[in-house]
Amino acid sequence: MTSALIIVLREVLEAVLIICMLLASSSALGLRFRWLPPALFAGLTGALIYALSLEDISMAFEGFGQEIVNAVILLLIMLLLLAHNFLAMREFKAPKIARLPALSLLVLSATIAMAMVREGSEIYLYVYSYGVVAGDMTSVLAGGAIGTGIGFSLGTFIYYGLRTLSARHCLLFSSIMALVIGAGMSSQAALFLAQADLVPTSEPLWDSSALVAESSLLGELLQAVIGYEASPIATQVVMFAGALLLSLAAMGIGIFSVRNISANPGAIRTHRSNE
Amino acid sequence: MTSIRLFLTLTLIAIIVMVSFLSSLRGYRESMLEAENLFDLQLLEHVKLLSLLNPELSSAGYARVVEELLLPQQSDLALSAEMRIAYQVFDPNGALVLRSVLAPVTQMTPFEVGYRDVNFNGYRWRVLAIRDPEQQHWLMAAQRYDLRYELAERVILEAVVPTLLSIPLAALLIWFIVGYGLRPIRVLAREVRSREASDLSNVQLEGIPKELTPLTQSTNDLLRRLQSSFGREKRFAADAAHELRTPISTLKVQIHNLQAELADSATNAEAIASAADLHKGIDAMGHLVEQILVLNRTAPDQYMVQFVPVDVFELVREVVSAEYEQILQRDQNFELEGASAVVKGDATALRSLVVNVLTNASKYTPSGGSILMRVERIGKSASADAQVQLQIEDSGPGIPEAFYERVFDRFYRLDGDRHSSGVSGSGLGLAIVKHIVEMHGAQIALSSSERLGGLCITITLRAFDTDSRNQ
Amino acid sequence: MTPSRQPSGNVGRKLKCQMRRLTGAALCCVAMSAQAQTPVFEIEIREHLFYPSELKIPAGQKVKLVIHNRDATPEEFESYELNREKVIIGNTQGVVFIGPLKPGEYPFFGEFNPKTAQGKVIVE
Repeated sequence: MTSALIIVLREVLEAVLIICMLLASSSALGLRFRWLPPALFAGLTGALIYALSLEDISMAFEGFGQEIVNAVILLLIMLLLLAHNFLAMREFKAPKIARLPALSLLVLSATIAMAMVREGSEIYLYVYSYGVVAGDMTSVLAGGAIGTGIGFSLGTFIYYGLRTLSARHCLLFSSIMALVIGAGMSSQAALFLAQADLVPTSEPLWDSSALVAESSLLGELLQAVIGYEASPIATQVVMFAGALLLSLAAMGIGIFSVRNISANPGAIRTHRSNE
Repeated sequence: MTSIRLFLTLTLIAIIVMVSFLSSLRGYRESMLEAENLFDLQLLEHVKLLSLLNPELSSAGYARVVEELLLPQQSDLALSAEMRIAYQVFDPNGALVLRSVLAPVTQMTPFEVGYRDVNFNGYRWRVLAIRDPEQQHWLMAAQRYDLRYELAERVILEAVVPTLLSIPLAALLIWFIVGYGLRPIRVLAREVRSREASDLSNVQLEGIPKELTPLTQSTNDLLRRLQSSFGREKRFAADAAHELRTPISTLKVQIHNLQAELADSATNAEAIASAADLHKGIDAMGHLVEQILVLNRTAPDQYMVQFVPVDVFELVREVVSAEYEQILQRDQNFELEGASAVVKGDATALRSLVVNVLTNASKYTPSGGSILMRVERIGKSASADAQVQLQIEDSGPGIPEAFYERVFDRFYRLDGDRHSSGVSGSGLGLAIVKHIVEMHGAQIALSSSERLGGLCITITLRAFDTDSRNQ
Repeated sequence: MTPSRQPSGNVGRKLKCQMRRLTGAALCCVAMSAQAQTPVFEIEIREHLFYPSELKIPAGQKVKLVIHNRDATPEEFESYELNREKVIIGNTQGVVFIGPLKPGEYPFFGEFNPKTAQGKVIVE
């Protein structure tokens, strides 16, 4: 049961965090939720394709296809979260004036689809492999149910927690969440690349497993939020910090780009008349 | 937070799921650890038993294999058979002297005291090695890990699964209970929504919950204030108009007398002309006051409805003959088309309606212009959607489309008082028409007359069939 | 139950010999890669068990771990302590670089069968 729980919980947590955060900022950005089902469907389809072609992927790139694909997916999500922060900060700076609905829709859908590909394929593989072994399904289902339940409960709290805030504060908080989630993903990507020996590796900088073990519930949660690693290598720390800085820069550009708009009185007048 | 019900249901379920799942998770982990300790203890007991076996008998240099005790196939005993234990005994020199069938020929674990996890025979085993303090024999007992897990988990899941299964039930109950708890809000909303615009009476609900009492109280307060201010406004206009009637009648009599005296003396032509103007002004004022009274009387939220069958065509004919003088005066060409068409309505109000549209048309049509009135029945007889259409067209200047809505406002006149036609009027005519139309649940539409080029007013009333309906 | 529950105590060189004898095959072979100077270690997965379940590698050095999955089902090589995870499809092999590491014990497990598929890397 615990193995099912850990796998399901870890994957569900990451996906739910991103989805609920994006749902909250979606409504703060004035978008309706109609984009969600297609994005989820695309993500699930992608997850299935990924899981089914895992053998070919594994064999690619001299046996490091998995690591490279995983790292690429993670970095892609990080970049999409970066774009999300850019959009959120535009809205934060000038609510309702500086919206880019088409781009927002694209960024949100793509982020969720990518997150689903990453987490869905893992769950599919587990259930598939367990189905072949034909073990005790009760314990897998029980573990899966507990993992899903905890994940969705947390998601509900995050969503409504963000929604109780005003639209601007909601955007600010979800941007901060996206900031750390993206940085965590970038650090995980570093790990995959280290596993494939594509980036310089070192001895772990520190070991905080005595403080928070990665296999504990808190450790899983922290890993989903900030990409917590009890014993990170230098490359991870560098990529984490790099992603943080990039995201902050994207937020700054978001704010600055709106200042340019409001400096142009023609633009602001046309927007006002639309209201 | 778009729906209170969804919010409450989701967050409540989330809290229940979180708390109960975390506690069952903790319970599971603790129970698994406890079960592991129990199994470890079982291994220890087994080794202790082995030490009592006096392994000296097998010091002859060959390893004795102990057969399994064949147990009857009974369920309670079969369970223990799953937990069979493999054991080995080594003499102080490290030679195997005794082993169970399950145990391998090679030693299961190094000669080190303690528990250890190792792989052999295609399984992962939990092995305990102990050195007999007196005989210096090595005693080892091992248990399959997967079976330990399976057994422990089977027992613990019995406790966890009901918690999981109860969640959907709890969710369903929460959904219904939250819905039930929010019912007073829905009832209140329905009560307020379903009201007529004119109904300003208090909102009254039985058993209003404490949380909603302030809301209903303040709503009722608001309604009360609204009602009294409405009433004041309505009464003021009606009262003022009514009060003005008497002095105006007096004025009329006096101007009549004055004109007679002036005519007798016939001294000053200017004075006679002024008196005639004054007479006109007083008549206009009298008309205005009458219109205000009609307007108030026909206000839909005021009117005491008393509907009777009315033949619109007949009504129009009557009105036209009464007002024909005005039309003749202006040298206007008047035509009436159509046939008898019965509607159910208030005879006085409908007459007022026809008078107003007719005088309106006559007023704004220049001398020598044309006015066309048409009464038509549309739709099959006896069918529910049969209608009577009253149409009046004129060759006047018409109304620009942008003002179609505004002209129904009270005291609204196109271009203010400087109407291009130079005609004076109260500005209440079309407002009265609108009131009466609403009172009858009819429609009024303004358009441009195709035939005459002026304004075309179309009023559509529901037809009434005297022969087919008993109402 | 955490998959890393392991008995404490040092494992002597004796164990390695024992393991070889027990499994009946030399599974823990150390080879030096000529180009990269990276030592190569091999692990096998059979019936959801790791052979060997204890692997010794040198400290402060990057090593290449080749994991052969002899089962038909996929397995995910996972270790919190080594910070590694890799799905190995049935009847294939996967390569994972680990280290450099400080001396100590680093448990790993098969995420799809964590009850039995357990092992640890001992860094000396």
